[in-house]
Amino acid sequence: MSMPGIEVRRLRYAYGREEVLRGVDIDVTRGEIVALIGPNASGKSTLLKCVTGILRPLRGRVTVAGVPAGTRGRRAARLLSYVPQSTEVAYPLTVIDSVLLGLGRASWRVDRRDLQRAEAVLEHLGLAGLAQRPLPELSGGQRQKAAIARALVRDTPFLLLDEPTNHLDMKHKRDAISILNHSARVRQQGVLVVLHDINLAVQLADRVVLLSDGAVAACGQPGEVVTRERIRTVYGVEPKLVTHEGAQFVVGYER
Amino acid sequence: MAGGGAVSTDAGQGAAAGYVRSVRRRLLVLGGLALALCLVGLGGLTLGPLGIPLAEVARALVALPLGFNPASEQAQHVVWNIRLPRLATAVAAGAGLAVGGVILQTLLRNPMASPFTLGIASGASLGAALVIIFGFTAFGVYGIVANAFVFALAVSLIILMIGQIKRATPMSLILAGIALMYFINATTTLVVYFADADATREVMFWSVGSLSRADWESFAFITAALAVTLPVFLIKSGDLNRLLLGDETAISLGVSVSALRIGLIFLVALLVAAVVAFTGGISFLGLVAPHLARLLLGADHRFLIPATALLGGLLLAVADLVSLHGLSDVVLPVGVVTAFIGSPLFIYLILRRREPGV
Ligand SMILES: Nc1ncnc2c1ncn2[C@@H]1O[C@H](COP(=O)(O)OP(=O)(O)OP(=O)(O)O)[C@@H](O)[C@H]1O
Ligand SMILES: [Mg+2]
Repeated sequence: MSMPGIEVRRLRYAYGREEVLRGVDIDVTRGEIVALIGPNASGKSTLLKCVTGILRPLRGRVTVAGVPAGTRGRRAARLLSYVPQSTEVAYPLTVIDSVLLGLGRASWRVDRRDLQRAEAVLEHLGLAGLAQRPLPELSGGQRQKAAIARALVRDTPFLLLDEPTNHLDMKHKRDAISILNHSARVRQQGVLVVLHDINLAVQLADRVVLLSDGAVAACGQPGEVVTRERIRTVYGVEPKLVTHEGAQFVVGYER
Repeated sequence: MAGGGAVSTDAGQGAAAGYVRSVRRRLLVLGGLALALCLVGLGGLTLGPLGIPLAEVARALVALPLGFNPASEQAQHVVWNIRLPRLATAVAAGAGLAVGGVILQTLLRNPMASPFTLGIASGASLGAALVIIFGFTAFGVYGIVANAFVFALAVSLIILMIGQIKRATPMSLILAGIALMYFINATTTLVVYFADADATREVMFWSVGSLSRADWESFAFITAALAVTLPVFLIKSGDLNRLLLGDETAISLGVSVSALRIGLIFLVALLVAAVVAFTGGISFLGLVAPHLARLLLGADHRFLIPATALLGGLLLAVADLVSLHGLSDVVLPVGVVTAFIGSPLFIYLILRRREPGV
């Protein structure tokens, strides 16, 4: 049961000479939702890619369930699912074909169980009617949901999502919240999600990590992290905050 | 996606049922292509200076393997020694070029990729031209073939080496390939510039592409290359599909992206070199056939690779028949015919369907 979580220790990463992550520590355990927030270019996507093993850390240690990030092979890949920030596809794969690709076995033979799982996930996300549509013909939000479906169908211990709601309207945002909640509470997945919408992060997450210029500026309960001073210093804006059900929400900006 | 709308309104039957139906439909398309290939092949065997009726072609075809007497020795000879080797080579070569194209288009995630835009085929032509013009005739046509092969592989290795340089993206591979192609073509032009008329004509053969040297040997050679590479491509079709979702998603799904890219480009080079060494640079097939196949049954490589192979074979067989019998007393180089058919077709495809910008 007590599988070790995602552990990021003193992680440094640089593209060429430009240092983007300068010593980041983060933990994500199974069954919790951790929201990663921070200004543009603060290194959120880079951090996620280091955990996924797409980028190799320059310094520091990243492990997922005790396995070093970047370990190749299907076994390591079955530990986490990743939804990238951009979901462009090159050629007309259909939605259901692309969801089946999330399942390791579904290379040649697709068995009944795989199909039922894919169908269930598509229905869960309200995509069942689009199953046979080619991905390039979907709207941005639909394509994003298809990418989420491909991640969910895998049912991995950890789930990493990079701005999964940025194309979604209010209703679909609400659905995404309940889906991520379901993932964490019912399926006991550890969820690390990059969000730009601070209010959404406050509502959704157990813990919030605020990244600023490649370093963790604050980390903890949403109420502790999202404060007037932090928003002012990190984002450079003066927020109007209201308190609702014990948490602070941004409702506008001064000036 | 003709069935797409019908399936989605069938929501009561569910996505799984829709998937099963779509698999069946795609298998049907594959069957249709195979059938079309057989029909074109049979029909093609009847054409020529000696008209052989279909029934006699059929009899000649089964006579040799089964050991009974064909109606006429002559028909037997023409079918087995003249027409069939050429047709079979056309089908194998077409399949090889088309499959090479579809794999490159996926690996580099670029609809412009093909054995020709990457300079692999140009390399083969240069290799052939060098042997022809500097006259290493000791090994006859084999010297030409071998050198074409060496040069095609060399070009692919250069492209792969460029790919090994830190963070070379698919796009930079394509651009490097195009630059390489111009360089090689210029070199070929330079070499030809100083050659005599006979050699120049011979070199033309390699740059335009022709099946006039096709025989059982060339068929065997190309088929061997297909037998080595095609199963690997098919086994990797799941990973190729994952690559369509982007390198990052593919890596997160456990695909070793750079190993896959290097390994498969090497196999494509092998395949294309084998084809081009015998047929010269038959252009456009590697570009058009994959797009056509994608229009017919989508981008899933489990179906796309066989469909592309069948379509490539079919297209080159048809083009060869046109080149042989299209004009009554001139035989055109088949490369000219594929270009003449291919470019308008390609432009039509571009206008008809918005290719997603990659
Ligand atoms: N492939 C790359 N090559 C070079 N620099 C890059 C690359 N990707 C990102 N960067 C740089 O790294 C920094 C962090 O980028 P990253 O994508 O991690 O930011 P982010 O926090 O996800 O931003 P956003 O909110 O805009 O998505 C930026 O300055 C960016 O310019
Ligand atoms: Mg980002």
